[in-house]
Amino acid sequence: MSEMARIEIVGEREAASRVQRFSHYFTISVCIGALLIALNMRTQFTTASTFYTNVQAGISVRYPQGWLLNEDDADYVMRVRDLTRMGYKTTIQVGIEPVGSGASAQNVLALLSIRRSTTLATYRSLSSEAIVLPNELTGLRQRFYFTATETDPFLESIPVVVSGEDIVVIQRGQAVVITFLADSATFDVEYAVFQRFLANLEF
Amino acid sequence: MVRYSTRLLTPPREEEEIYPYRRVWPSLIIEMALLFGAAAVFFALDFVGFALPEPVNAPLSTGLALLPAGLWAIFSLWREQHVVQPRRRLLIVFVVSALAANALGVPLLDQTLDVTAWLSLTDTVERLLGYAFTMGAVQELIKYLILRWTIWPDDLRTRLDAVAYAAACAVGYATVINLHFVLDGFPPPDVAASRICFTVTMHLVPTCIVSYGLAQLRFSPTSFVLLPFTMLLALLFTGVGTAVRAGLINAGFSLGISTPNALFALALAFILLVAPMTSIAFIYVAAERRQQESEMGGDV
Repeated sequence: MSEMARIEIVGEREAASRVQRFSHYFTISVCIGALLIALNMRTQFTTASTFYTNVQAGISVRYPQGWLLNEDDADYVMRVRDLTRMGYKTTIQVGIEPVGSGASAQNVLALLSIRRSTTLATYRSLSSEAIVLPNELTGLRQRFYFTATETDPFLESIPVVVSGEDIVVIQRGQAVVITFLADSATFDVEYAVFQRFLANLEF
Repeated sequence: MVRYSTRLLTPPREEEEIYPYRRVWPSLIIEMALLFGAAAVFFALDFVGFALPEPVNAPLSTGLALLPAGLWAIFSLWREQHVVQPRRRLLIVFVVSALAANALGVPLLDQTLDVTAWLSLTDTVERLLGYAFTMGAVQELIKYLILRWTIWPDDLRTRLDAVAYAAACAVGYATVINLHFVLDGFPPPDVAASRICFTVTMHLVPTCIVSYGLAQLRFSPTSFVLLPFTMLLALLFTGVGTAVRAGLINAGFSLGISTPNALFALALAFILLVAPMTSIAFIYVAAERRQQESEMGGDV
């Protein structure tokens, strides 16, 4: 049996005219331009900041716009929290501790660990390391974690694992303790905010 | 005796011209009417105080999310098989659109641009432009590229082919968005229905706006500005619709229990669907008539 040839009749493809080609390029350009504007808007909004200064403590910093500022606590000089975040509210705080002439940053971190282990559930501190801040001061950094539970029992929430980082700098007989706290699930993403905070911090 | 034949003398029957394509507008009207009708049923049940049992929420919400695709399959895809000259790439456009939404659109908006994290906190104008330039640009660019590379220009035989393919593209994309929404917590059916109607509207209308630009570029390529202009219009529609919905249905501050008003959202979706689609249909008809008139003028 002879093989049957299969012939497909296909219409000739029309070549796009110059107007059509330009129109398609222009349309794609409009969308890409819109996306670039959107990225610019996003950067402007996510990096927008508010200036804060405390003459008494000698601290000035720019903190993320829209975060709630609190100064009414003996444990810290200033604290800012992102109240728009679901679950654990991302927190940055700056505290000042008077220290003796022979005290080191390691001593301050040890003291903080002892204090927190009595108040925070399953508090664990990790190893510490030296750090150079953007303002060229040297300090000591320590990461830690604990579990936080919603204070309102009616919300029936599951405890959240919170990751934190302390940076301690000894200066003029006092220890400046900069603390960053965030839900461990979003810690790495939120860390960029803390880095911007550190870059603007002066004391 | 005179005998009369029982056969009557009748004039010869005129050959009725058979329209070889599926009529797009009636299909779309039926699909949208049934979708909004289903949503209205759930609101009516909620209004009369009929509470559906909790275990029913998940299957009902999932069914509602799949309803636009199901209606489209029955009233567009299936009916397409019974006409003389069917549009052969409808299913391809639908599937590619759904896949692109899942692989590109959703991750880009939710993870890379993270729209909800920062746009919800901006003022109205910024929010409107933000939604237009993020959500609108990503979604409409993806859908435009799908239409551009799957059907343009050979599968556009008439202007209404553009609407048929645009609807397939929009419903495919919207189905994935709706499934993401309902699978993330299985909301009550009335809330899901309102959101699903809104999502379908927010995809159908802008894609049909862009489809007009594509159709004009195919059949009357006189200006290269029209298609980008329709794209810009589609982006702004997305921005306005999303921003207005957020402002309209969000629960206000109150000392009691405040809940978002899903009925407002459904009414808004209906208005956002009917008003622009009527205008688009009118513009399509006008363009078709203009072309016919110019052809007739050319023949004379």
